Amino acid sequence: MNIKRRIFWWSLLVFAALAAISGAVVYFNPELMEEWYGIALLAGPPLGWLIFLVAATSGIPEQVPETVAQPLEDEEAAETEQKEEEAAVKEETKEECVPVEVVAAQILGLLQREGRLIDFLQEDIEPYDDAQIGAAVREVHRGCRNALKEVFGIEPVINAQEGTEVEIDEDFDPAQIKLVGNVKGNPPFKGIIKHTGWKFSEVRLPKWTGKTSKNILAPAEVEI
Amino acid sequence: MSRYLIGIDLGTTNTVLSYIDTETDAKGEIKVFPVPQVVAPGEVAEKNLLPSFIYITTEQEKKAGGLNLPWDPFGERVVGEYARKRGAEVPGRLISSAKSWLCHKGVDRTAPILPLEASEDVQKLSPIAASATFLRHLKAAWNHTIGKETGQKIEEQEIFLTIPASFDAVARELTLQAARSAGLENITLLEEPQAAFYAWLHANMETWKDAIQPGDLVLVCDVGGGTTDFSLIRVTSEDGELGLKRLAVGDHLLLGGDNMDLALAYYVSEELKKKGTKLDRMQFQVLIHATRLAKEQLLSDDSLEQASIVIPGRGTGLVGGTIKTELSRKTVDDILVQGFFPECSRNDLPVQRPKTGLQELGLPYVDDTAITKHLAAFLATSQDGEGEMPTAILFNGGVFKSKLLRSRLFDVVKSWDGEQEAGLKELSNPDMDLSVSLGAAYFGLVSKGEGLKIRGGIARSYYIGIESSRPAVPGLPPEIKALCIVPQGMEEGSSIEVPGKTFGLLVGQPVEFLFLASRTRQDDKPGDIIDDWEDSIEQVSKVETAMESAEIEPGTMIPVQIEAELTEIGTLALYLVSKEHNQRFKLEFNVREEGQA
Repeated sequence: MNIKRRIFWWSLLVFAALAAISGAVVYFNPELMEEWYGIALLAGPPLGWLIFLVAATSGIPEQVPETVAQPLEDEEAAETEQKEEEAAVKEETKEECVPVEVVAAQILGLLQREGRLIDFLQEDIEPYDDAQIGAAVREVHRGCRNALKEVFGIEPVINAQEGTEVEIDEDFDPAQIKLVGNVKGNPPFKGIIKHTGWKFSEVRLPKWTGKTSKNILAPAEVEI
Repeated sequence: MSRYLIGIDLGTTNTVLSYIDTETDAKGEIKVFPVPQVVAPGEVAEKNLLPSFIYITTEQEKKAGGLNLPWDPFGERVVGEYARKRGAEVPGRLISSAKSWLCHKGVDRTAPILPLEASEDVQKLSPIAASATFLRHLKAAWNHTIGKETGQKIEEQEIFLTIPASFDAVARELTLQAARSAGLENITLLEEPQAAFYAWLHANMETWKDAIQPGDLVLVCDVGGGTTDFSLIRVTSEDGELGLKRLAVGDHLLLGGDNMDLALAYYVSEELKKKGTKLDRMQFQVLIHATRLAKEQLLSDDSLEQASIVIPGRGTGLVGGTIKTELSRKTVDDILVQGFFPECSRNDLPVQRPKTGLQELGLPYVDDTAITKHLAAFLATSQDGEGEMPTAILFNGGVFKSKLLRSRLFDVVKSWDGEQEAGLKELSNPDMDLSVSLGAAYFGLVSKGEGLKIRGGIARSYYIGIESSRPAVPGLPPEIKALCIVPQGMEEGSSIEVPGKTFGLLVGQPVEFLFLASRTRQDDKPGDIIDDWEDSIEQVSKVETAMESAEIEPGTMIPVQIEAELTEIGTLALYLVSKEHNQRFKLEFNVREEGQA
């Protein structure tokens, strides 16, 4: 691809220069136009350029063929490294914006993978007794809990015991603290913490490499 | 000195990279490099541990491209967390325990043999290439992140690569070859138990001199996922200055935490079978995992009598298909504590089963799982029979995250020495999983003179086999004697000319010697000839050279002597030297030919 483009521009430059010269010659000697070589002088460069382009690029394939991009042997690793680096640069530019479906699939996929959450929520649990459900829930709980811990830094909004008294500042953020009960007038307020709330301090979702389907939460499994 | 000092723990089950940036203010601070790795198709996450597993992808997976890394557009081999998980589902495409294969004398370690039972379309790797794969992953990951930010490529940094103390000269050389084939040249080797000890020194920079005194004998007991490794380090005092000296290292034991989890899982699965529930292969994989969690629960909480094991249904019916069972404290006690850490006397020896003639090709796992017995045998053989007992223990490896197992082993060792008044101390390891790599990075600073270096030199004495000259007896192979060429304790960066023995060799003729080693013969000097060596010296491999020289006519007999050099980076090089012709011929380790497994 690159080579083709380069040939195109360079040859255009060269032949345009030729065309300009012959144009200038004809301009200053208009009588040349009455002879065949005058016309040839004008028509030559553009025609020559087209012929050159066809001749020069016909041998170059559109893209590096598959076989060149075969995986590496150990000994060849050094050679291919450069190629890998180039590919890496290309990859990088793609990473910037991740579609919302991907984020959803990543989070749900993670909870499914680690804690089988989708299986659990999709299953009809009516027929089973509590002991059976309890056993399964332990697994779901353990796995999902680990997954959450790994990806989100989850912590309480208010770092204090539930049931203790807390003072609400004048400039409190209603998104962070929800007031319930006998709410009237203006802060500061005094109140009892009923729920400490949750927030995440960071998100460490794995990077998405842009190669998988966006809507797959868990692939189907088939044993061969 | 390079800007970064890098410590790599190339473990049997996990690989870790730590580093020190010598150009920041916080000098001597060690950081663990979070290694980007595929965790699910299309997802790359950074984790401190890079599981040492290689999964060889299928054509379809390659085409789908979900397992590619930012620096690897091919996705031919996946390394790390996804490789481990995926490999459990498709065992024919999984390479694990590459490191144990690297020191397995019974196979050609340069031949593509892994995975052992590979699917037909899998291109196999040699143990060296497999080990190189992990290093190559680290290299690409570093160069893609820190390397890109700072312009400091990993191959330009000083790298301290750890190996089991039990690795002999050949396994060390092969490790180095793996590093080279990954494009890492600037490598120094360091023994893992020493690295763990360095990590302890680093974590207790201000206080360690109060914790151990001259005369103390520190046992480093490292039980990782797949291997068990012992070392003894003596605290010395010279002219009022504290010194550290590594006295002895143990044999290579293929025994670790994975064996323990497997043993428990087999037991539980047998119990289930008695109740009529048979597990398929995938369910068994889940069981191993679930058993490990239950075990950890029991080991960390004394009050629990049992922990539940749950194997969720395989299909989407999670609750309906759930198999539930328990792991009782008694089972853990019987199998784990009694099986792996039984009480024993200091004279106990591990049991060896007689080998049957036909054996499946595989790793030479130990017969006796009793770590305490292996430890007793190690202590008995490593100190000239004086039987001095350690005064301090440093535990390392994932197994010892359990306080119960630590104190169990501690008590057993303590019981071996009744008279000791000072008592046995435990040195607390800063991090059972990361210590080795942290310590290796710190060793980078120490080797620059910024800290106390553990001395000790080479842990084994080395020999070559020579045929004795005696009249040939029909039907009897010629008697082989062992000529000591390298004494124990030979220091890095020194070389030895073996005195006394001169060989007459034909130029142009390939020559080959048996290459032998001993862990227990501390007093042999270069030039000593040992007649009866079978008990205390074992064959490591063969060494060979072609003895070709442009200056000497082929067929000429020239006198040569043997010279041994222990390089600064921790490898052993042997030469045949002709003084007369001023020539040196390097003896190469032959790992292609199968040694005596």
